[in-house]
Amino acid sequence: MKFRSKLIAIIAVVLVVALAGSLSIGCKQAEAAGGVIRIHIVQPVSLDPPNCYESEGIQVARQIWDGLFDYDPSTLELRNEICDKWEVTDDGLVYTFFLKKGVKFHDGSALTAEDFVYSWTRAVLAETASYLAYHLSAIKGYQACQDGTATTFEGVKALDDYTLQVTLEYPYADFAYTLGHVVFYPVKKADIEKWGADYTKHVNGTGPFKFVEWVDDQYINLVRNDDYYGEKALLDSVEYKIIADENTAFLEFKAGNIDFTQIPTGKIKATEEDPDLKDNVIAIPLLALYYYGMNLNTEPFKSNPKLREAMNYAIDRQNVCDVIMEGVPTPATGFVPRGIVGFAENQAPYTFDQKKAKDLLAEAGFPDGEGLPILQFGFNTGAGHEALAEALQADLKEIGVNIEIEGFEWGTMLEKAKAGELAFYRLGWMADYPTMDNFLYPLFHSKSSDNYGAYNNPEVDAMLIEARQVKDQDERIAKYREVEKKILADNAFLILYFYGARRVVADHIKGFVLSPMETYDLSKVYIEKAE
Amino acid sequence: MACASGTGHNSDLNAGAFNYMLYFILRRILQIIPVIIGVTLLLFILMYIIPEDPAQLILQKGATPEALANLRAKMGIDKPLYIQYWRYMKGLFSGDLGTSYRYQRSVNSILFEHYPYSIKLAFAAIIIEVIIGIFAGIVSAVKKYSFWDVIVTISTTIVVCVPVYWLGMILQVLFGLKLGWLPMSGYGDGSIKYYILPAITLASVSTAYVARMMRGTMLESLSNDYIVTAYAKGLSQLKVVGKHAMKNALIPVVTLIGLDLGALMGGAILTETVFNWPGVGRTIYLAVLQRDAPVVIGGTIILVGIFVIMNLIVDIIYAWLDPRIRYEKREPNV
Repeated sequence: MKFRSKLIAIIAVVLVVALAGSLSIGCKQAEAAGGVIRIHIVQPVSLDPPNCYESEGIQVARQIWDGLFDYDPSTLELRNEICDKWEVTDDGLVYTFFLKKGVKFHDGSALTAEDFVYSWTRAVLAETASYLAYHLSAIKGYQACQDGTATTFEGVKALDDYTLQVTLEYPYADFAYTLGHVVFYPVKKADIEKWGADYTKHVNGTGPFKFVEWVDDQYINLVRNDDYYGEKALLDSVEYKIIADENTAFLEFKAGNIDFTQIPTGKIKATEEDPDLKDNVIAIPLLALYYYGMNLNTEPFKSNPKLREAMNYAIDRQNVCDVIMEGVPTPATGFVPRGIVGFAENQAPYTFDQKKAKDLLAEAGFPDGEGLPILQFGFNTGAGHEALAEALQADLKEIGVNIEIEGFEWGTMLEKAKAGELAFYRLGWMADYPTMDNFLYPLFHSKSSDNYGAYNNPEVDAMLIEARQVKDQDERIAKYREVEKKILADNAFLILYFYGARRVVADHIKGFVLSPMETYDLSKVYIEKAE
Repeated sequence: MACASGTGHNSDLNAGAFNYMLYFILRRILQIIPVIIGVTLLLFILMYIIPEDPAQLILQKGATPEALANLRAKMGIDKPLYIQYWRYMKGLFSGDLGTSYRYQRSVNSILFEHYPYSIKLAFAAIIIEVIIGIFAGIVSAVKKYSFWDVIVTISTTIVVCVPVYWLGMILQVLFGLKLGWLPMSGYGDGSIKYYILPAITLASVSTAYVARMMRGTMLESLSNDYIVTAYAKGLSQLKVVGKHAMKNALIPVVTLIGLDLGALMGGAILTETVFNWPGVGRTIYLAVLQRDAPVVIGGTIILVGIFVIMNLIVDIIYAWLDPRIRYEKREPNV
């Protein structure tokens, strides 16, 4: 021990000198215009649009690329990026997008409509096996490309360099909204042919920041694109620091080495009360629903809607949010979360009312739980779901519903839930795009692959299809609200909460807006310089 | 006469020893092959016996039958296990470790990017282990029951008991956050200051073991008659300890350090995680959590390879250092 501390002491002296030197250089850099933001992420899976399916890659790709559209980070309204204007035919099937002129890839080559045709075709081809291909499923010719029977994407055509025409399989009024997704970003054919699977380390985008380098598990660096067609970014560069452990990242934030990170689980309350840190906390709701799914093809859920309803009244959502989840989420008031355009408060009638729950349970034919088998409940281990399951187990026990909880590996749980072997399970649904349709169609249409509970109501199917054809936004929203109420009346799920997030951002970072989709636009961010 | 016959006898012995040495090395190398086959087969079965579809794991949304089939085909998991294994082994013998499920990139390039960092950190840790461990061990043996001996004994006991990640976090908070002397995490620009905390953390337990073993073997060595003779000849303590006692005392310590180097090169999950060191240990660990079978298998094969080779080198050095091992025709007990 003694020798080691001596060694440290010697090295420490050397380092203080070295550090003092490097600090003075640091000050000079900060005085220069622009500056740098240092953001914590964990190692992304990919920056290649068709494989960019998790939050880490997406937030980086969003700085590197502009697509046809983007979402306003505060209101989530659709806003144009590369698309100058667009029109749709009366039958709602053919969309024409007119592209802005002068848009260039970072290597200097001009972007044309043909690049979109190439990129979207690549995303749906069977050989690409993109995790995100399903986002293009409304476009004509999608199925043939997925089956491997076609190599051209029938519904996507470049009429000239700046006109892109898209033909849909069926009317889908929110289609333009979906185009803000990362999977629709244009890539250059020559790049893909040159780099193949390594393209993710040589991405060439169209956005306000240019990709410089990605060193595995260390960093991803971006610099401002001075050749950007729109308003140029204020920052000189962006450093994404890749840190796997959230506690390590949080320490780095406290030491001033990182400007933006998340607050580790278990430290949220303490951080919000810490006088040094509380002003740095960003609290946002997320567009995501946490729920307990029930397989509606399996007893006792199948023929007992009253049982499902009773369970929805028996649980204390506020307690779950405040006590177990450290006050981060908010109780779910329906399927469509707060923040989505068209969200309405209190779509669901559920309150925490155990008396009513008991009555409903009796109506279902199980007075005080008599005659009801023990329900097997499954959750995925290792993500903090157990404490919540235990709280709900206790709540449900109060009314006489006994559940047995069991942890599974994530993949195993999904498989078992899908196969109906696990009739009661935990899941979450994150928004792909900020539309009501995104929370209703995939989860409840009988033909959707994400409908794990096998919910099947022909009337709801028809209404969902119908809503997709309503061109007027207000009318469409009204229609979706009606569908949501209808599904809630069927008590399809045990809804729990809408996710939230707690992050911290450094004092000198200004203009940073975190959207409820966990993304941000760094082109508007600037550094406040200390006098 | 005695001298001449002695020389003749010795050269005969050397030739025999050399032949045996060659035979010994060859045999040890041949033993590596079944080890590698056994390891791959075991890993393959373990990773695939888990009733989990990797395609389903990745396709969390939009998992239509076509999408799943396309992904399985791309991952190469649409064929029966024995075909997959055959394909994998064919690739392995041509140096191809396959493609990561998660990153859709070649496992070779992923491991190639991470290994250098683990190896560099391992050497940094070994340097600490050798210098501090051996020195502390010698001091506490020579000054038996002195103040220094007690300090070494207590501190090594504490270090062995302290969990590595806890020690790492304490060092981080103390030298990184509070004092601000050293970087808390990452590889940075690769300068020495980034190595200090993780290397100390990684070396801590092994340094304690080396110090203890060094103390024990040194004490044993110091009690030999030839040491008494050396002292009687009037040699200084430095010479007696440094030249005569140390040579014999080092043999088991060298074994320990050599094997430890092999183990450290495989990467250290806890140290790499706490210090965000971009090494291979954490990569393999994350791959296990993410069910990224090609990375797990590829990483483990390389790890086993390194370990087996380090073992071989240690055996050879051992055989060379200790003639008894060469003469007795049996496996050294390592």
